[in-house]
Amino acid sequence: MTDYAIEADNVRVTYRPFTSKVPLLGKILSSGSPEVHALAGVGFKVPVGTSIGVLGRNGAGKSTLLRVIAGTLKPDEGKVVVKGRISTLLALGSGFNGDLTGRRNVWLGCLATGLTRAETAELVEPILEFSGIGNAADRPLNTYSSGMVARLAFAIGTSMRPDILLIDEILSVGDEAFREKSRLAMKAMVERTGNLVIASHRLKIFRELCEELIWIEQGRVMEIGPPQEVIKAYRKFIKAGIV
Amino acid sequence: MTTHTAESRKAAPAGEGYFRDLWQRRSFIRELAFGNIMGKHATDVLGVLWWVLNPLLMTAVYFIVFGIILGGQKGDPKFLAYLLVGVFAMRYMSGTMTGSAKMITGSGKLVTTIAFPRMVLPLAALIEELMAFVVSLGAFYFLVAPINGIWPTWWLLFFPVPLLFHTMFTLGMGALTARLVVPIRDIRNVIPHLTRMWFYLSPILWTLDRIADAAPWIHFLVKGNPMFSYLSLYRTAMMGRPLEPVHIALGAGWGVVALVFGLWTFIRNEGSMARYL
Repeated sequence: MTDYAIEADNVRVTYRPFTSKVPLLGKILSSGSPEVHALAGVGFKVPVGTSIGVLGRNGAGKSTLLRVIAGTLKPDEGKVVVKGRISTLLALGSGFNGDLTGRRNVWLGCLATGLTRAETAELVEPILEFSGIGNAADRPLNTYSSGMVARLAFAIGTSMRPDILLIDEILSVGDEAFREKSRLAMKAMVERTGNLVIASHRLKIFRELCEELIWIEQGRVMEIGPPQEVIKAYRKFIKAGIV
Repeated sequence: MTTHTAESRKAAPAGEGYFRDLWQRRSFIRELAFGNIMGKHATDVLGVLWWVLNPLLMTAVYFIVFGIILGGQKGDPKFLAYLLVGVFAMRYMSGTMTGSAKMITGSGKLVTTIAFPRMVLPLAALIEELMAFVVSLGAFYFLVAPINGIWPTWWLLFFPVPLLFHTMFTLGMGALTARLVVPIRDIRNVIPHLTRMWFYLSPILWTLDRIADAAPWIHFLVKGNPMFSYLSLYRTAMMGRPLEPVHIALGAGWGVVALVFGLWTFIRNEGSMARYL
């Protein structure tokens, strides 16, 4: 019997531009803005140690899917069972508290995932080291460039030694040297039998790091399979759409 | 190995596990609260010192306006002390309500990327304000006590009682505000007016003799205001005013009701918060 790290079954997520328990109020306020089916019944299984990619155009539901796996968003229907410790590098940006130093933000990030103070204390220096931001660690996060924020977020996410690492479009940030470093870190993660879940538009990443690829379109799974095949089908679909 | 299951909202009841998770995040709560305080004053020359200076300056302003210009001695011989107990207690609550709203709408990245019990956010807001409240009590005895001749008495040992009930009530209000503000951002515009109204309607700037001749329903409304009970108990503890035991019962009752309702509605809805952030 195969052990699954992630099992998703008929996951549905609907965004309503405005929800109200008062029917009339809700109707007035949301008139003209129809419901958005971000995920319309998505199901798949990921065996332990398998890295998967999530492919799809903008608005296909990639980020929503990753949020459901991360456990930050509960689906309206269906369920996701995740076995193992998850760490997330979902869509990065402003970080946590821009007024605080990078170092304090590392503390915040680690404690948020449920690590204890002692565990965090041990991790902080290695994380700062890996991020390579140097002296900037003691400057407010507001003063960082977007590349530096990305480095720090990546360092936090990987240093927690998660069983499952969720990545949403990170590799396009950071300079050449850091990109190389993070690629190696991810490879190591894959070899350590960790599960990687990557959402991206960059097809090259999938070929390099993923054993399986899920292509979603308008909240539905179009195809699941080896990256080469799925990419081929995806390209054909895109071309057909343009013509 | 840790396992989590994300099921549809209807199917997932929040049980003991929720509070265990919350307890596990206590360091996180503290870090958020202290981080907020430090972050707010990061660009000030005097830094965190403002945290102590603010209540002192506020006290000074109230002293000038109400103690000297308006000569507020009419209603109460110790008017300044009477006033400040109310100002500080009210600020604790309104600060927590605005703070909870800000915490939850301002932590979008944290909420969408990391799974943790969201009650962490209103709790951090509460702790931040609670510390400010306790510090302002220092200001109370430092400035006002000499002016009004009120010094700490044994009654101060009674202080934790109203503090506990009022904190339960405040946390409930904070959770309720945070729960509402996520789907309906407009609430942010309403909170300041609501808390200000609450401030004026509570016996803080005025004393009870103002309504001595008022209709019974006005008395009923004034005394039904939860803040009325908390203020009365705080004044017992800090100014040695006679204790009215009914306020212990009322204060505890309001505290439990607000806390249970606030937690219930917040936790029930927190699974969908990431949708709006």
